[in-house]
Amino acid sequence: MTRTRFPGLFLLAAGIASAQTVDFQREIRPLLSDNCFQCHGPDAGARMAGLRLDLKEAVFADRKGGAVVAPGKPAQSLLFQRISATDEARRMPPAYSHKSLTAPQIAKLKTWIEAGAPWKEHWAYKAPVLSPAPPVKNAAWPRNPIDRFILAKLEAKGLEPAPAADRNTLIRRVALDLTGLPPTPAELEAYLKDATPSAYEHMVDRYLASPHFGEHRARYWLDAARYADTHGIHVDNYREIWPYRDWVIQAYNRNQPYNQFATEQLAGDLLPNATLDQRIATGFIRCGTSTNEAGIIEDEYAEIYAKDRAETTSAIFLGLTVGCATCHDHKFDPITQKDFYSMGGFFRNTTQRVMDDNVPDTPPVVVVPTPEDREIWAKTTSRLAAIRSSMSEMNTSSAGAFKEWLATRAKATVRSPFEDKSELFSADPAALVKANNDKANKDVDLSGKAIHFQKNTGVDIADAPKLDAGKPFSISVGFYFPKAEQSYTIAAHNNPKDKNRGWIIDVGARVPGLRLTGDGGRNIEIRAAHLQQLQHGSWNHIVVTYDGSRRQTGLSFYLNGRAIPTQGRGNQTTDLQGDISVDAPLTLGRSLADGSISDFRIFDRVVTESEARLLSEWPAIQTALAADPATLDAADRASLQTYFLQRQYEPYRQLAREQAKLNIEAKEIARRGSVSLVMEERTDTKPSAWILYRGAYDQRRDKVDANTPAVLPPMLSSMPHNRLGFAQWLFTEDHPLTARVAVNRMWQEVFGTGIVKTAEDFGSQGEPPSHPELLDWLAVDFRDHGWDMKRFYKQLVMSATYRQSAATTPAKLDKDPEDRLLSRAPRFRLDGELVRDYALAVTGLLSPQIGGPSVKPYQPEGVWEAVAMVGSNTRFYKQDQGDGLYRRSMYWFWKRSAPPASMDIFNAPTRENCTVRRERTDTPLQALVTMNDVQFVEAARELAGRGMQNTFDFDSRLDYLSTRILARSLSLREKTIARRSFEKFRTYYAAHENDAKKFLNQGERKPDPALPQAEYAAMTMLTSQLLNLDEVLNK
Amino acid sequence: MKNPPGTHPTGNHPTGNHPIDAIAGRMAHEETRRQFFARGAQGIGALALSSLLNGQTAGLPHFAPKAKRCIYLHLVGAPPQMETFDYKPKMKDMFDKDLPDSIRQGQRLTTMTSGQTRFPIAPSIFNFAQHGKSGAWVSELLPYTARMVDDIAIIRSMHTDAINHEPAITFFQTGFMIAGRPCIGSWLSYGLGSMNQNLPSFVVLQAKHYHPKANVQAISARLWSAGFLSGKYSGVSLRSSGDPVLFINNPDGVPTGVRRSMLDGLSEMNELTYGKLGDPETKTRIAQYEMAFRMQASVPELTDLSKEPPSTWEAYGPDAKEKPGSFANTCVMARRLAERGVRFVQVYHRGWDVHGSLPEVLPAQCKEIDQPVYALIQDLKQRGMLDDTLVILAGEFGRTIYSQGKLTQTDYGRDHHPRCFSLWMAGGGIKGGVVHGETDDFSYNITRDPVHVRDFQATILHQFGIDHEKFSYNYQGLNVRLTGVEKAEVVKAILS
Repeated sequence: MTRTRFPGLFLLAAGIASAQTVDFQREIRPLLSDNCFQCHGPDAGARMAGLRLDLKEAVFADRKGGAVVAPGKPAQSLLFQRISATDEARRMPPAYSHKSLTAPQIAKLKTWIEAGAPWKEHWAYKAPVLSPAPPVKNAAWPRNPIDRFILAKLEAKGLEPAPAADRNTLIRRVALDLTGLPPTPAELEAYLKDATPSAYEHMVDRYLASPHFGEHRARYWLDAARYADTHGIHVDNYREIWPYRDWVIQAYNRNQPYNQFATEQLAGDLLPNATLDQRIATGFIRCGTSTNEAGIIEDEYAEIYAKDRAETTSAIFLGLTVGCATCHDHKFDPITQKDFYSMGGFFRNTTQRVMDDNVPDTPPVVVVPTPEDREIWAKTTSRLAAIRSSMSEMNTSSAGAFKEWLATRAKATVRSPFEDKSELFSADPAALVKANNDKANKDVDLSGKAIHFQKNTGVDIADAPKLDAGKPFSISVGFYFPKAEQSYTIAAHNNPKDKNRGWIIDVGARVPGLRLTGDGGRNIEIRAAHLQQLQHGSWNHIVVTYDGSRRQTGLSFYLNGRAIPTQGRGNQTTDLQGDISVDAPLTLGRSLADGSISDFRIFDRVVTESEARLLSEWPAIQTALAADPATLDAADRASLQTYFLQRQYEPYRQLAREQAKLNIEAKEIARRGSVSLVMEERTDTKPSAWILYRGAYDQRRDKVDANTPAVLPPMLSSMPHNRLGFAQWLFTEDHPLTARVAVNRMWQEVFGTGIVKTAEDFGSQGEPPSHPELLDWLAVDFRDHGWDMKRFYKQLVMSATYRQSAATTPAKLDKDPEDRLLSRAPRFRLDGELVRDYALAVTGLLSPQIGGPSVKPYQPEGVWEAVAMVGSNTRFYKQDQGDGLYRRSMYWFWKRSAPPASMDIFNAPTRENCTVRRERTDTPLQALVTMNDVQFVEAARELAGRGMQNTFDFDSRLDYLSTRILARSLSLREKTIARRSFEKFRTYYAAHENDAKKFLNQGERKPDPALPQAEYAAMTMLTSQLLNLDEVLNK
Repeated sequence: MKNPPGTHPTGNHPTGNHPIDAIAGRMAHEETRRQFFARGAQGIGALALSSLLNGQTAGLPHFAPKAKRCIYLHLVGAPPQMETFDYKPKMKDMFDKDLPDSIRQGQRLTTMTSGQTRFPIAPSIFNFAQHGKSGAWVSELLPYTARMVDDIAIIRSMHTDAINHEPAITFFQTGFMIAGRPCIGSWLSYGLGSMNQNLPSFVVLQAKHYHPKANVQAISARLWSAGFLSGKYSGVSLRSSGDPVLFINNPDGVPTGVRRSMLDGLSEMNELTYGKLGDPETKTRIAQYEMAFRMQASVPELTDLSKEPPSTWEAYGPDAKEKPGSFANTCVMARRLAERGVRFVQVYHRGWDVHGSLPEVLPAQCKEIDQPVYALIQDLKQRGMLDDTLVILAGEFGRTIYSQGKLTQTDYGRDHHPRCFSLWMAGGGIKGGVVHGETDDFSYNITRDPVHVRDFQATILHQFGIDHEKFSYNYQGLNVRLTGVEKAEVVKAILS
């Protein structure tokens, strides 16, 4: 806002303005909010002179020197005295605030006081009320209640609605608004030919039923949800969460009611018997950025993540900018610091750790089988659960048989845990220690039966088997995890001088894992998920198995005899190349000062889950087996029972075999499928947060329970104070914001601007609604009709308001320059994704596939590399071939630190933060994209070629093009221009065959060699010209 | 490429020899508010107009500016101050001694060294000498810089709030540690508009580094993002390979003449649309396409270094000519951009994160930048441009006096240190030959004249004639400033 001062003029201006009426909500409150609330508003910390101008009681209260506002008496109102004071020292707002009131603004405040200073609470905090659609003069125009609200306002301003748009315009508009794609020639023809009165509605219904409806809606939602394919901060590696993106598409397509849609995303995991889909939906919360930058302080980032979640949720569902209250109470809205942190509390009680480990599957995650595998996955996992419980029951049920066996057995020395010959190697601690001590390595000794490492010297094993990356193997190691917090290398057979070729079992951040490294340092890795952190000063046992597939999915991990959640699922492209065998000796305890190794074995096959349990207990079992049967204690007995079950008890062995088989199947299913990041609640703590002094992570003050902002209706006592309760609260009957904010955003998608223009801010600094009664009507109607989104969109596009022509007039531009009153259909530039999809769709190149992993279409070289870390797995952009080049833009792999270049140029957000309202600027760089990007050039050539293949004279070719590109025929004048352009191009290309050839050879698809080249090139350039039309780039 | 017959520009389009010739529509990508108003609201879209009415750019500049343009060389990863400008002779005697607790004062550590049991002091192994009239101490790693100490103002007392790269760089460039705010270049483009009609006003260059062991930190598009300001104030990347500006080149087989014909036809058809619908945005679009055409002509001229005289290559060093995208080459390009009226040139040079192998990596990194920055300053001076071109060389924080990892006589590394570090500024009203601020014997704490990142930002704005307290943008109800809400002071001592 320009804030020029006219100190001497205010009285004059005041005189002029007093004849007018003033609307408190639209004109006065924003003035006060803008200029006064910073020091006289909700923020108690910044409040000056103990004065609040945001509360009615305070504004009308008496103070020393009179009332702040004396209704009807400006001269006696302190407020007016101070804002109109000529003495600069007295005048408000003070100079140091860099705020000032203009003469008309001062006049407005005066008028308001003269009119009795009518006061209303901020509209957005009161529940919407259904007001009847207002009466209108032109009763013939409205088609539904929306139109009555719109028309009433137009009539009041002396404006007329625009005439209805023609059918060609309408179908293009509807198709774009409902599916994000232009109409096909067949759709166009069907609609133009339909002479029934319900032709329009039928056309609308067809697009509502299209599977592209969900894609188009999801694209808006994903901006808000800040969905992307990388973690975002620092290394910015790949993250796997695209199943969430697909969930959103499907939710729209099956017309899931908005309340369920929201609830599942906020708290799907907390719903009773949560389904896989409901858990995937919580990816909404996981979409925020995360880091793994070495050296970061985790507490600090925990707060950053919570803030992002509170802000995102608040902007999307409440239309409030709570982030302002991070450091202090909100200056303008009654959101306190306590409110902000209490709300963040809902999202902090998670099992997710701060560090994302640069892996795609940072826990918590769910395995998402392919649609075909879903049924078998459900069966397999439930059978596996049943087997585990049966096996554990056998500890009891086998008691009789065990007793019998125990009575008959003699003590024995059993060397190998397995009956087969799969054991390739086992370490003999005593022999190793002796050999090392003999070689002057005195830093290892024997502690019980384990090798104890005093320092980081380790012991070498020269005769260890070399492992083959193409064959299966398993490694088993029992070790004592030292007390100090640092990284440890337990066992390794690798060569640091050859980019660590070989294998290594190590522990970082108390998380154990195995890494196999082949050619060029490329590796695959499996680690325990973060929740499985080892306890310092504890004995642990690891079994890692590998199936020889050279892929990460070929690895399995068991900790202390149990299959546990793991992470490290690689980018699909990562696999192992070359050898992992090295000439260097295998070392145990290379970096394990104060630790010990009790048992170390290598097998030439994949060890099963039950065998992993046997291995984890093996040293104790060996001892018990060798002991005199008469001296067995309870622990020995337990060990022997494990041995008995595994080696002697057929019912158990049968289950173990089935388990092994099912585990392999499950692994296969998981390998075919994907994973998705989800939310998971901690069960040992309650959702809560600390109020942070000035927002600093290390300045914790009071601890607060998760709660909703106090200015809004409270949570009911029946609602749990967790994410689920929060979602339930959003959909309580009298909630003032949820429905309004949702309908406003949907309105914005269709009409370009929301009824509240600041879709993210319904607070006192947001813009007041252009049609408050309409907003409330839509909100109540939406809520009362079961939050039905398709119905809502249909209602919008069925209105006469929507069906107007976009043609404007000087009078309309003058009275309503931004078209906020909708005296004509809104006309605005398509978003970048639509611009690209449009070009692909009209040429027939667009792939119809919905969902799946993200793709990498054409992009100039070096866009990723320019910003990426050397170690990042999104450093090099490897362009797809074939279908991946022609998928809808919403499937474009979204790297946050370098978003798709052409989308970025068209104002796409980086997806680092929640965006509920995209910017739309016009820049020359956009023109360069649509003229020069190979994607658009290839599309133009394809369409030109098809036109030439299917029609045989220029006019019909032109018609072929315009039907597809513009959904209409060209006018005579347009045809003349097009022909003239074409002739120029043809003249040039006829004389420059080489240029024609070069121009036609763009992109991965090949041009049609049978077509006459000069004409083909000229037609391609003409198609490009048409694709660049303002009419094409705009809705 | 010659224009083919019959495809010469016609009608309203420029027919002059140089496509940069002014035509009606200005580059809206750069247009300032004043330019918009000069053309009247009819000529631009309502949306564009409304987006301009949201901040305090009225009355800019607030006072007579000293700088018209800025070349900001950011050394990503943070160079160690005690190896460059902050000479600490007493450390020689403290090799491998522990950093006293009285000095550390509980300073928080990154989690890379917080597990270290000791903090052994690693004195710089490089020699320092005094130079110029000012007698400023400069390390032997920067012999060229040493020759120009009287042209530059060295600040040795910088400090920041962040201790890790990602938040620290974001903080330095946007005033906020979390992504989403506009960067300095965007603020200036927004506030002051463009000085040219065929190039962006804010250009970003990424210089390559070559040492294989250099530890590289990420940068990201967010660093040159306009944040909540309009996207038209974002930095535009000028690349050293491929299209210099993304999509600037016509497809193969499309000469300028064909493009001109296509634009003529396009514009005529768009005029029909305007006639039919009367939407002012259509006019804006027509102007944008013309601007794009002009850029297509001016960018190749900009990036064509073949006409640079041999003296350029001598001055900037061998990398300048031989290695496109090297820091030296980038400095030549930065000067060319400045000459052509680009207001803000942001250069990033990576590889400065010397956690280990410092004695091996740092000399190479310094060598890559030393001669080129010297040449840049001299070049600007010779062209009479240094007076109104602000040049900055800075990292995002400092490094610790103690070694990270193993310390030997010949090898050590340094962790991040936010409490003190050095940078220099020159030209654009900055006083040469100034050494500002002082740190303790350990280069650990500031002992005199601390300069916070906010002060640094306030100083940049000041040189452009902007009072940082009055320059804001209303976002979500707050008048957001580059320097944030905390007090910031212009560093008067370094101003001429």
